[in-house]
Amino acid sequence: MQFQLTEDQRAVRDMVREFAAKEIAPVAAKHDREHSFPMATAKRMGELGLLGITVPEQYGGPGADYVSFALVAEELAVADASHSVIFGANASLSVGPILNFGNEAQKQRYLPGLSSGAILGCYALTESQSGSDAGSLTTTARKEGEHYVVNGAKQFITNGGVADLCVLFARTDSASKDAKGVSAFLVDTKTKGFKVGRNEHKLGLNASYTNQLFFEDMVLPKEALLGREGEGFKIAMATLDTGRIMAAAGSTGIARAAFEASVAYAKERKQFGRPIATNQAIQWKLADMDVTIEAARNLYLKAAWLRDQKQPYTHAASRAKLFASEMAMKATIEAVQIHGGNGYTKDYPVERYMRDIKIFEIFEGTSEIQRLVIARHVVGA
Amino acid sequence: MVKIAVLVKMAPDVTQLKIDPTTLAPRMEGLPWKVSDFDKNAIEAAVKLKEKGQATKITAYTFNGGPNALNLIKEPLAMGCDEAVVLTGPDTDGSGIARVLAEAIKKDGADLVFAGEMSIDRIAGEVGPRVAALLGMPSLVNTQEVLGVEGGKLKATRDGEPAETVEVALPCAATFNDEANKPRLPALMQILGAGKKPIRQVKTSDLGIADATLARKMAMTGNKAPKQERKNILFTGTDAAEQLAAALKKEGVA
Repeated sequence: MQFQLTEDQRAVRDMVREFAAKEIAPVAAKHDREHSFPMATAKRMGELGLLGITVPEQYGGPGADYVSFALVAEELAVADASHSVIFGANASLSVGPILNFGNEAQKQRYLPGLSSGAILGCYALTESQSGSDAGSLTTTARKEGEHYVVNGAKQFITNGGVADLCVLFARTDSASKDAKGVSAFLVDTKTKGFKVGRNEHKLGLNASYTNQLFFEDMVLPKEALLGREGEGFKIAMATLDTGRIMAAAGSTGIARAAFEASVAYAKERKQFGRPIATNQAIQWKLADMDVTIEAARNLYLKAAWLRDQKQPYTHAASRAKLFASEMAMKATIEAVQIHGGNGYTKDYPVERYMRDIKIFEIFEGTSEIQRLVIARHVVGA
Repeated sequence: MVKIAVLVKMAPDVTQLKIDPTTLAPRMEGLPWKVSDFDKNAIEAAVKLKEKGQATKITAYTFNGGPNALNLIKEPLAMGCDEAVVLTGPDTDGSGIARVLAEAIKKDGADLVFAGEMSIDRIAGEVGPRVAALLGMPSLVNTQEVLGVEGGKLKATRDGEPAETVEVALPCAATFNDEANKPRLPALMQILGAGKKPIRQVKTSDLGIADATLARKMAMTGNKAPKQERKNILFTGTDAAEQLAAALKKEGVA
């Protein structure tokens, strides 16, 4: 067993660590405070080849593996969870469907731009009445001759307000009510009838835009269809499996940031004449963080490695996502506790970590859905 | 056809250095190694020249870069060097290091030799100018900005007030400090492509240098951090602020 990163994986991680520390961390609090999209650093992620990290060289990407992809998600999240999510919405949720299900023309048309950051992507599956039950979505794509006419609305779409390309899931079989009637489309967001709704006011991830999208008699050419008609749900779920690796790695990154801030603070902060790090109560919190962060990292690396080996990884990705997000939620709460009153203020970053992490227990499949997926593997139901 | 040789030193990451509180000696165990920061400024200057079309080939040379040198050398390659020469030989001092590098460069040929002003660990600042001397090249130190290579001359500015503008006939050598430019962060494509670039491993014996001639003439016999002692003065009373201000003035702080 080779229990270490390859030199390439380490080099990628080190580069992103340096980029995140030097260019993202200094602007993270500002974008959080101002709820502004970090376009400059998002474009830099493109220049550095992160936004299409797994795209093969022939389509303008660096062709890195999924272990590297996951390491990038962790390193970005250490500096700022929003950047990690912006990265994921592009590098995983937008690139993945095209890479795995697109035809040659679609790959050549979109992948170079998604890789360089020239275009940003979004993934539009969720609707107001269709969250965990994604197969029940009601946005329709009605076939009319050589075209599809799309009507409906999407909700909570990451990058929705800034995206140039939208991977859209809509019902092509009007008679169906379940997952079988869903198809996927690649939509230029400048298409007539594509409308961007409000940027949600959220608990955290303030620098990542989360929009409603509306489609009013939006006409798509038949070439916009991704995969075959009725294949949409399969595409959606396959994409989410990789997204779960990304979410697990991002959670690990947020927890690491909370942990590192807590260790530094506990060594610095003195009460009763000595650093609070000398108190066993604090030490135990830090020890628990240390162990669970390492466990989460190993879980997501295992899932990413399985994906790279082209082995089944759905179960592993769900395990990683469930454990890492819940672990990180606890770690950030403890980080605020260790910081005491200071932790509750915006003078310290830990309150941001605590706000940012909560969504990781919800998106890319809630903790409850992860347990459902895992239980199916366990009991074979 | 302007060929650039860049001198690259692998050094312990001194930003992570810890000092033993009792002996005051640096704790070197487990310290990660990296490309010495100033050398990245030299690499950046070389790559910029190549991007301007004023240089054709950049070769990075490193000597005795430790067990991880073959991996660390990929960073200069990712930044834009075309090939690397990883030299190994007996432990030696600054004059020996310069001789090894000069011999290797002489064999390959170079019109420009770029190096960091000094290394992050030893801060000696001797190897660049020594290599220039051994190669019989004029040596430009404290180079600020490379303006270009034109008509067989390197045009550059030197750090200073006011800054000097200079022209140096090729072949020549130049050293750079950390304010000369902003070394680039290589993109993923470059990082993953670095492993495909040629790396030549050369021993000092391959260069015809006898081990005995590299024996150290200079050796470090002690290395202790300065003692940092706090004054621990406590000001009390209602005029504590005034007392502190007076003390600071006396120290020449304010």
